[in-house]
Parts: sequence; structure tokens; C-alpha cells
Amino acid sequence: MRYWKIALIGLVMALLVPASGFAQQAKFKIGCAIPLTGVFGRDGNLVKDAYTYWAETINAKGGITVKGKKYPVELLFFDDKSDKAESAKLVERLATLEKVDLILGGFGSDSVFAASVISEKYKYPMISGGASSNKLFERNFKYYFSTLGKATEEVRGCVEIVDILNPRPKTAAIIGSDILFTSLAAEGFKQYCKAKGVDVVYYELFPLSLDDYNSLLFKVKQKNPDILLVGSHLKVALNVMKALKEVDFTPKMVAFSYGPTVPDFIKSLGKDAEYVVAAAEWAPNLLYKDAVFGTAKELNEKYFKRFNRYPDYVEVASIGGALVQQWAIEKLGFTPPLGAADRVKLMEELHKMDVSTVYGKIKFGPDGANVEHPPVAVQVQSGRLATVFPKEAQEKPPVYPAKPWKERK
Amino acid sequence: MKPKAYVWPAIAFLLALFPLLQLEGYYYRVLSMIFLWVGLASAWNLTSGFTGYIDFGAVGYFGIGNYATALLMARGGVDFFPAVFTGGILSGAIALFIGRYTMKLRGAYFGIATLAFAEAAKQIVLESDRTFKMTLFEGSHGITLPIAHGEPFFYYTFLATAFLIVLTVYIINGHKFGYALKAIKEAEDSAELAGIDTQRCKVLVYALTSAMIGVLGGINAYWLTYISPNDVFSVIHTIQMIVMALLGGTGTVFGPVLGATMLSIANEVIGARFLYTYLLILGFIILFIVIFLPRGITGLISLKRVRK
Repeated sequence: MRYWKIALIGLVMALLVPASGFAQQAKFKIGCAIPLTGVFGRDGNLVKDAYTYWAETINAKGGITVKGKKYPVELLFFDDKSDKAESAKLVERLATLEKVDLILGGFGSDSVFAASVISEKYKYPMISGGASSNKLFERNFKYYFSTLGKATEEVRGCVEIVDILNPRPKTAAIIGSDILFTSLAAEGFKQYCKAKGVDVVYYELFPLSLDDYNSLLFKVKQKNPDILLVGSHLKVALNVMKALKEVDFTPKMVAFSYGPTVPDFIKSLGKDAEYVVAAAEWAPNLLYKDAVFGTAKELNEKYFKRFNRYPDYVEVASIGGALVQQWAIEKLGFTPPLGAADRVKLMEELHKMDVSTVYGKIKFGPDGANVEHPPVAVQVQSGRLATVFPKEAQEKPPVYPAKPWKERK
Repeated sequence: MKPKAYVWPAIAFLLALFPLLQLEGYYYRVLSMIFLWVGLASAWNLTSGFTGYIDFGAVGYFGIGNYATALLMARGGVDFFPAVFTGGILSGAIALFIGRYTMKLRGAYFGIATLAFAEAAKQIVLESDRTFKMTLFEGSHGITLPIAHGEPFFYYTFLATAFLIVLTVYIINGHKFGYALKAIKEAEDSAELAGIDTQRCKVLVYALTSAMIGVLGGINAYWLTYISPNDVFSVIHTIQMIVMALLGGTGTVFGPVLGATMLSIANEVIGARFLYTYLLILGFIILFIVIFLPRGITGLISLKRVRK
């Protein structure tokens, strides 16, 4: 018994030491609990890259400039394994043990839900670019912010696009996987279809663990809707596309709430990805810019040079979040280390922010959601994403209807 | 292994004094999490470790406890403690019913039936609202609970619950009932012949285990303030209970306590330092223990004693 007690005490002692060393130079220590493994592991890694890119860009210029002096930023990431309890625990760790100056939001509504309860408790503003479920904004929280719109609103562009399609679609089928974010997207599809007078002929939410997509899509095929709208994550989107091909059904348009904008989508499907439409909150050809990252197009190219892939809108939304927080700090003239009183002021300042960034306009409503977000829809054309809606930002007109599988080479 | 009876209450007492140190909130959360898993692994072990009936559906009762408590609190306006208590009773009652049928199955069939039960429970919570056009479970949208208490509250609630569960297992272990359970594991038919009502014993212990897991589920819901079916019914939870019990040593009183504590701490320590490889490291540790210590950590200790 004695050995184990000693071993246990040893382990607990090891725990007492914070993971990151104490900085010699005055730095902004910024923490983030993010899924690097588990269901959202892939998505979480994107957000990690985004924050890394932000930090590298800022540090290349010497850091955050406060009252003429520069303070570099140091990022500290923890893996929440796509698990709520883990995420909450890690944010608690960041706030109390690591004593970080600032916290950045993670990915996935479930995890962020639990994590933001902790950041609220310790009065850390948490800006997320990867969680948008409506319920996040219904808790009267003061410290939670999102650069994305609400989940039901994000898919607006994918439905409103019917106005510029010829012939105008009359019927739609809506499917979605039955987890928070994707079911909200499906709900959003339904609301906007109703508003646009598109008849919903089929509506089904299916379990995330569904294996047999073919029979699901076969049911859709029998209803023969003009368009198919899917509440999805990347994996769901890939499965739906494969099943559509196998049951040999080509809706005139297929739109996903999330998935096709992740580079893996086109890479995995190749030519089969053609004509697919997706909701986006950002596209590289939008006329957004700021003093730090330049234009949206420049960011897109530089990001490619750094990571050998183009950024997804969630990544740019995350960069936007980090940037707004940085600007608020610069404006308030806070130097590290930040105290609790500073963070209260920071929260108040964030609520007042109304800025243009490379991600677009950011202005937080009283509930923390970004009120300024355009309903962008993109389409895969010739192997790359082209913005097709709204018309002001149109890169190319939408290709409609999609070519049936048999006629594609 | 038979540690002196006062060692464990003494540890629990020291842990109860821990908040006096006024440490960072993170430690309370980590310890709360360890208590939660000590409770879950111990409760799981009471049925599966003692009788040898490997329950793959334990998370079903965790989820039921979560949802019962959340619904009572969020919709019924019930206070936390009565809500958690009701959640535990409900889990136990459901287990009493389910157990009457599943406990007649043996080996892999029992495992599959319990796994199916947990998945069915998840689907009921996910689909009922849509199927019956009502607003109760809110499907995948999950349920938000009121935010009220800080760390010491949950720290003590988890500590007391885990302590009571381990105490229950300890008492049963030395009781006639415990011997009946172990007899079932060794040779069920012989136990039956010896006059043990094996079916009754199995169903009872299953219901007791499930009620404990249900109570822990209820506390978990209030602790996290937001629950959704995919999370609280996740089969990963069951697997974690099994792994922790196996690591420590199944069928013993303190094996699961050690297993849960060590795995949780290892996860904390390694996870913070090796961002991408810690799961691999943990995997190797588990693999090592399973291969070289088939009776778990407590097995190693009792082996040493024999050698002495």
C-alpha cells in the first residue's frame, strides 16, 4: 500500500505545476480549450491553426501594441477531446491554475456551452468562431461572444438563393443529423423555406451514428424534391454525397450547412463535389479588410502559404474573434498581466465594439451573437469554391440545375 | 487486499477538509471529476465485477439520472436534492424492470442486451418529442439547467456520494449478499443448487448499481448545466467505467477506486504536457496493465503480499 500512496502523492504534486513556464518577458498569455481528438478533432485543429496564425502574425510585428509598447502573445492549447466535462475543466484550469490573461473560444456548441459557464464564472470574455447554436445566446451571459451568427440564421443564404435560380425551385427536402448544431441548421432551412414559399416535402433528422445513408437518401429520392438541404458537419456531408451517387439521385441543388467549405470535402470527393452549395460566413473574394491581415484575398493566400491549404470560414471567424479582443485591449491600454477588473472592462468594451475586419463586420448584440453577418452561399465550381450569393458579392453565377450523375464524366 | 478499515474513511475525511486550503477552482473540478468516476466505476463493479455479468449499458442509467434531474429542475421547479434522489429511484426502478429480463441472459447475450438498452434509451430521449409532438426532452437540443452553485458545493456532493457508494460496496463485500454474488460469478448453477436465489440477487444488485449511477448522473447534469442525449448516453462513458474498474481490479472493493483515480490523474498530467500523443501514451499504459496485470493494480498488491 505504501508504494501506491507515495506514487499517488507524487502524481498530485506533478499536477500542482502549471503546464507552461512562467514568462520572463511581459507577455499576453492566452489559453484555449479545443477539441483536437474525438468527433470534432478535425474541426478543432482548424481553429487551432487559425489562432496560431493570428498569434504568429501579431508576434511578427512584435506583439500587441499597448501605449506604444509591444507585448508578444503566447498561446496555450489543451485538448478537450470533444467532451463537455473536459472542456469545462480545462477552462477552469486556464482561469485558475495557468492564470492566463485571456481565453479564446473552442469549437462545437456542446463543448463551448459547458466551457462558457466557467468563463462566465471567472469573468473571462470568451469569443468563439466555431459555435453558434441558438441556445448559447439564451442564457443572459455577459462574457460569451460569437463572431458567427446564430445557427438557424447561418443557412439563410442557402435558401434565399432560390430567388436568383432559374427555374425557381418549388420543393425541398430537408435532412440533418440529430445533434444540436445540425438540427438547428435543419430548423433554419425549414423557416427560410417557409418564408420563401418553398414547399418542404420531406423532413427528417437522423442519428449522427447512422450507417445506412443509402436508404435515407432513397426515401428522399422517392419524394423527388427540386432541392436537398442538409444540416451537416463535414462527415455527414461526405456521407450524403456518396449515398446520393449510389442511389443515383441528383437534386437540382444540394446545399449543406457545414462541410463543403472544409478543404477535405473537395479533396475527398473530387469531381463528385461539383455543384454542391454550402453556407458560409466568409469568402475570400468578399471586400473585407483590416490593417493587420490586409484584404480577405491576401489573408487567403498567406494562409495557404503557411498551412498549405485555404482557410475555412470558421477559421477566419476565429481569427476575427481574436483580433477584436486584441483591439479592445489596445484601446483600453491594458498591459499584462490582466486582472479581474480589467476583464470586466474588456467585456464592456467588447459589447461596444463595431469594427470592420478581414472577416467582415463584427458587432455583438446584447446576447453576444454577431449581428453583422451576411448570408453567404458558395458553390463548388470546377474544383473550387465560388461565391454565388448574395448578388453583391457574387463571383460567378450559380450553376443550376446540377448535371445528373450519369451525364458527368 | 484488505487495507485497515480506518484508512479509507480517513482519506475521505482529509478530502472533506481539502477546501479549507482555499486552492484554485481547477483542483476542485479535477477532484470532483475523480469522485464522479470513482463512484461510477465502483457502482459498475458492484454488478459486473462481483457477478461477472459485464454490463455494457450502464451509461443508460447515467443518462436517465441526468435527464430525470434536469427535467425535474428545469421544468418542474423541483430542488436539486429531491430531484437527484428521484432520478436515482427512477433509474433503480427501470433497472428492476429491465433486469428481470436481461439478467436471464448470460455472457455475450447479456452484454449485447444491455448495450441495446442504453442505445434505446438514447433514441427515446432523442426522438420522443418529434414522434409524439410534445415538448419534453427537446431531442438533440438538450436541456439547460439553472446555474447556482460554485465548486465546493459539487465537490462535497460528489465526495459524499462516491464515499457512500464505496461504503455500500464495502459492506456488501463482507455480507452474505456479497458472497452470493461472488458465488454467481464462480459457478452460477452450483450457487443455485446451494440454495441461492440467483435471479433475485442479480436483479437486486443490478437495480442498486443503476440507482447509484442514476444519482451520479443527476449531479453531473447540475454540475455541467447543459446536457444533450448524445453526450450523457455516450457509450464512451460505459467504456471508461469498464477500463477504470479493470485497471484497478474488478470484483474488489477498492480496485475501481484506484483505477478511476489513477486514470483520471494520469489523463490530467499527461494530457497537459503531450498535446497530441497523450492518448497514445494512455493507451500504452492501459495495454501494459491489461497484459501484465490481468487482475488489475490491486491484483499486483495482493500478489506482493503473498510473496512476502
